[in-house]
Amino acid sequence: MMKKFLTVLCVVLMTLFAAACTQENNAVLPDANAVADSREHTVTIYRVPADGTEKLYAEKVTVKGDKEELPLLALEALINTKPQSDKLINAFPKGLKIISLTVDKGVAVVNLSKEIYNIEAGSYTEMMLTSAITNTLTEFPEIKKVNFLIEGEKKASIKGHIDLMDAFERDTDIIAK
Amino acid sequence: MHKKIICCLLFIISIFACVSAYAAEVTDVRWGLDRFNVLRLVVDLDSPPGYNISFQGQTMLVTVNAKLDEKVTRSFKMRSTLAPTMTVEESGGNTVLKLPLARTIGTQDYNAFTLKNDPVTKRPNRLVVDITADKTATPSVVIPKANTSAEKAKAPVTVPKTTTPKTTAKVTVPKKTAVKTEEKKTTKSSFKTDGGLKGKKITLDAGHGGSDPGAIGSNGTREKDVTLKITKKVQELLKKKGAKVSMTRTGDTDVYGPNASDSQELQARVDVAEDNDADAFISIHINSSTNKSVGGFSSYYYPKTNNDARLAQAVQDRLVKNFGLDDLGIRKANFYVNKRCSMPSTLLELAFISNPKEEKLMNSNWYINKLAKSIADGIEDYFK
Repeated sequence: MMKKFLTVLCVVLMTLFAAACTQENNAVLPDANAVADSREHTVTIYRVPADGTEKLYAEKVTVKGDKEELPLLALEALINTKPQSDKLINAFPKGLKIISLTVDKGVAVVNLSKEIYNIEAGSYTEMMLTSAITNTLTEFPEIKKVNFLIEGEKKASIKGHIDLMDAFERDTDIIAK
Repeated sequence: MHKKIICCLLFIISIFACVSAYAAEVTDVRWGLDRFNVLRLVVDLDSPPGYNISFQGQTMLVTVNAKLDEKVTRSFKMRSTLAPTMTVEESGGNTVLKLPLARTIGTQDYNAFTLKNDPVTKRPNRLVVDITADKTATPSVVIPKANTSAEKAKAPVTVPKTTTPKTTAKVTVPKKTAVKTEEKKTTKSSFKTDGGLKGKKITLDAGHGGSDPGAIGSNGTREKDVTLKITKKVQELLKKKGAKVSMTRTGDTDVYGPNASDSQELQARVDVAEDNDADAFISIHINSSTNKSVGGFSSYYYPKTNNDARLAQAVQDRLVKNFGLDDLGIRKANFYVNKRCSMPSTLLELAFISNPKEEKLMNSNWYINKLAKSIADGIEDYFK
């Protein structure tokens, strides 16, 4: 009888232990899950035109990964890949990294690495790249606004033009029809 | 049998260990007041926080779902007229920041967000609360403006000036005296938009300067030199027409000072316009693009008053009338200087230094003179 009771107690405790630790595992190792349901998804990213006009062009790209990571995957595709069309360019500086992307209550916070300072001087590129990131992220219904950080810090602007202090909202005027 | 009991005990201990390791903890609480009089609270945590902001009468409560480390300071005196004190306490496993406020504020008066830990910069998980109720230099706060600017003048500056602006060139550095503040109370936010150019106060901003060359052309032409040449010419022409002109810089200098932060430098330009109670603020820039064939003029504005777009259009019209360069039009944009000054303002992108043809033009006197005349005429048209 005692033996049986102890066995049951053991099982109950083991279940509790497993449950407590699974929660921890989820928090620490999201990759394990990501690999499990990694599927292909199509996302829309916004590219800068080669002709230098103030327009952004939507491009559909396929990314692989967990659905919850799609905003980050879209952003990485925007920054790291070449556009499919010759008429579009990737104007992001080489070596630029997304240090982190968090989303809280509809506001995404993009933390860019210091390489962003290597962008073409002049307001045009500053304007186009901040709008390209904002429009790419606001494609996702859970993101309404985008805040920028550089190396974890709030900055007034990248190179003295576009204001980075306040959150950005989607700019539909700049999207080519 | 004994083994089993020990086994069970071990499980129980591990569960407690598991649970207690999971509980988040507040490791530090800090505050700061920026140039815009925004009070920022920063809560450092060892894991991403859940939080809630509520009000108990006039007391603002920031509740963080985390325990409070013993080392954290419990009581703060802050250099804020809105929230002079803050206490930090643990209550029911949560950490609560209590701020008794001088007056009631609404949801539009604060903004909270979390930041994840950053292994590169070794920053912990953070909860940031910005209390913007007393924010200055934004045109949206029209009524309390006189009060806030008076408060700003009285309050000690929390961001110390590490360097002073170079004194070799005559820079129009605003003198922040008590008298000036008194004047401001009556004249602030009452910019004039018509009745002719005579007597109007115009602030001109030559883009970049000093440690910041701006964009550089393939023949080595520097944006900061071209913008200064144009701006000085515009100053001369506007003065002849009877306007009172103030300049953010008149030499190859930084406006705030060398090694200033980006916000100090940009805000210093806006401050010149604010401290001179300008009726209009014109920032002069040269654009640049990776595509060397792109060229033309564009005038940008931030739609904060009914006159920003009109000012941009007035100048743009003169520019395109007088030159054969492309008309890229007027456009809304989030430029810092346009957004954060209270008077109508435009930022002119006067052709592309990256376009070899346009770069060549920038080095000729007739072009600079004609450009300056077009800008001055455009400003005159706006005040008609």
